[in-house]
Amino acid sequence: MEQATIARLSGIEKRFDGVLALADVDFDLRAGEVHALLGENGAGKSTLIKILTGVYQPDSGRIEVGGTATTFRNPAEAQAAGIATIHQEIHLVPTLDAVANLHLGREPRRPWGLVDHRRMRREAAAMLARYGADVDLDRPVGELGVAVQQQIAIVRALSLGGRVLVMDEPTSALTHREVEHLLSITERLRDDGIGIVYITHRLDEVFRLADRVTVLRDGRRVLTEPAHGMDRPRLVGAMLGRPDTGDARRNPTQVGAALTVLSARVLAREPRVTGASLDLGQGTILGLAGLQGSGRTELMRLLFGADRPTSGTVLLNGAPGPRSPVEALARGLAYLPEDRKADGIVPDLSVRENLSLILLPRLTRWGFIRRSRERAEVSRFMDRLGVRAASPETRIRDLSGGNQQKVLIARLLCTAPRALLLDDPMRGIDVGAKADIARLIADLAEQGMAVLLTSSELGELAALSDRVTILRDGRTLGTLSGSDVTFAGLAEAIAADDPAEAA
Amino acid sequence: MTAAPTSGPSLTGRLLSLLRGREILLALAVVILLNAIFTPNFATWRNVEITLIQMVFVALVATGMTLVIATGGIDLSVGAVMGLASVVAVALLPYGIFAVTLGCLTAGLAVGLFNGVLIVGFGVQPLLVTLGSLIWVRGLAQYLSGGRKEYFEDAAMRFLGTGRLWGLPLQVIIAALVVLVVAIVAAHTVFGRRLVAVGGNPAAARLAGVPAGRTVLVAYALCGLLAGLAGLFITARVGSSDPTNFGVLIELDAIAAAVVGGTVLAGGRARVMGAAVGALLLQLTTAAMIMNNIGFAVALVLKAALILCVVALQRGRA
Repeated sequence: MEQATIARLSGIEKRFDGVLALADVDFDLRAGEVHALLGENGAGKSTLIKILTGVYQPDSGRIEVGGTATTFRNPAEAQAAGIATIHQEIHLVPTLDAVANLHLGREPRRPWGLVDHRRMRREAAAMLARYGADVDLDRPVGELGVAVQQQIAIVRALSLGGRVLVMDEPTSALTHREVEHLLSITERLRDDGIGIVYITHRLDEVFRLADRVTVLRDGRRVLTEPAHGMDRPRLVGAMLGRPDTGDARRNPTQVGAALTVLSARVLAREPRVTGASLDLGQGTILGLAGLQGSGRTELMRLLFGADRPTSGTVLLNGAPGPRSPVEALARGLAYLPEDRKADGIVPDLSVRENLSLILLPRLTRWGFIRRSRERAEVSRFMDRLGVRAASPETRIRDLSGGNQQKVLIARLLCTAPRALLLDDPMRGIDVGAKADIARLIADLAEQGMAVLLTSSELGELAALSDRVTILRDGRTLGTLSGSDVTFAGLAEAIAADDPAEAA
Repeated sequence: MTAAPTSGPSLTGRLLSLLRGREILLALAVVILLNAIFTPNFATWRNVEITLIQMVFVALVATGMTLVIATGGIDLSVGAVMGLASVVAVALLPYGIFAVTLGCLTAGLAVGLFNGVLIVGFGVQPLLVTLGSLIWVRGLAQYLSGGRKEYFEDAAMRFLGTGRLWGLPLQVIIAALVVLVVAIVAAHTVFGRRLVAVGGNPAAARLAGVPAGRTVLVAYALCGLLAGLAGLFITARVGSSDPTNFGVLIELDAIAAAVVGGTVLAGGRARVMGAAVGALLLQLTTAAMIMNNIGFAVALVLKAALILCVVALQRGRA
């Protein structure tokens, strides 16, 4: 028999500064089920979760818990209604032990007001044992390792009487064995009748654990289905975009003749990159396809010299790979980071100052910036990329995402690089800017630029790339080329159970 | 049909936008105006000179502090550096003014580099590092001098302390030049631009090929150097060393001047001229209150209120 629904969100809509983050999203959770919530970054997962847990209030839509409509004005109200959350970052006091953390803020008292330590310890041990959590009670939790801390956090969350547990990428920081333990704890919770919302990027966990799956993309619900018997490529396809993006596939450059600019051999930096090999040729676009968390960004950082690999080799123009961003840029390799806000823009500086940041040392005389040359270069590249800003002196934070991205790409291009690493350049920007950037990338390759490209939309990647290397769990699984580079082909390769299939 | 002409911004709107980012000038104007009305003998050349002479030390230290704050850091050790420089100055006096100057600057530079290396190389928090330096540098100054003031008579030092050039106090001229040069460096060189890039977003700056560590290191080195110069100046002015009292609490005035001048504590902005104006504003306020027989204790409270007001004005836009 089907279990009762314990939480239901219907018709949820949420805007931030007028930008639609969630549009008419329905989501429901039954007692005793694991409901996986999937989607790439920016799909709306975390917004939806924050609405369920009272961090945000929806602009419209209904929240029902236990069959009655409610509103949560803050996280405490959601918690009181039985909704517990485990975040990626663990919210415990690292200097206190497990007993103190479990009772934090509601310590049992003796009649005259002192804390009842004996009772606290007894109850803590019982709570932890009930969920199979194996914890040293006497050490500060900060010394205990991420997995154990997570178990304490889960027990703490549920000891508040939670019937709903939201787990936000709980395995992203765990080792393989710790993951196993966490999954078994999760199964035990489910069998206990708790409804679990499970957010992850790892498909294996979804198929191992989930009863149902909901996929969000661009703030909309794409599907909700039973996980059992679900087609993996179809699930990947739902996450990574429509097959019919309408983008005409560009004419691939004649592959084979291209001179190799950048290559990697079994490159690794544990735990995110475990063995990546690829070859990037002059005048070609090499796609790097994989889900979020597959190590796309980490691999690009290794290639750029922003991080040091623990093993493996990189060759740039036949010489050992760059050891720092400074060296990479000097040798004609430029990198566009995935996270525009955290790693790209300097928010309070102007468009001009942001655009000329890398080029600056070449615009000087006796250490002084030649303003006229700087202005000329900036306006040349603003024109070339079609940056729309009130003036070059506008603070970059006041620009739209698409225009910020164009400024960042201009920052790279004005140094005349020979190879570009573009980490999801079309993420989170408007349709017009997307088309502009796609055209620009194609043009650059035409003119001889070597481009390594990732995208959270498989359709875009298929449309632009000459060849696509498949990445999963930090390992490259092979490279598709020619007529295999299609949306369906990529989705299948990413979802493939056996790495050999993709080769 | 033609579109109706859009009306331009109103006159008051335009005036306001002209002031945007320059709230401090408004505050300065108000303080000067109030003083001119209420403070006897305020608007005299003599008084202007005294004001400028008194703000030399804070202006120098605030200039260096601005560079450090622009990187998102802070330097609490500047006052202790002044004390150390005074001891070094007296020790080197027999070898002439050139050795004295070089010694003071070197001492400041060394402490600045020490701070920078710990912050950049070992990732220790600037507040902790420079708090530590505040303590050990002051301790070193007292150890080297046995804690004693040493008075001296030296013509060159007297000239450096109280001499005049072109009818103006020498220290005021030098300080003004230093502020000007640093302001130009901050606004027009690659180093200056990198400073605010590192302060504004360290991760982005690194990925854009900015040598972030070196940039921050240079900021602390310059801050130490300027504190050493301030130490030389105060020693020459007073005619003695003072390992215990020179520069005590000047770091707070310098931070206040920098912040009032429009440099944000979070980093990412460097307003060197603003810091100098901030120092002037604080000096005028303090002086005015003392000249109007408002007690020093009350003056401190009012000064704090003024700082908060200017910062609040700056936060109002954003």
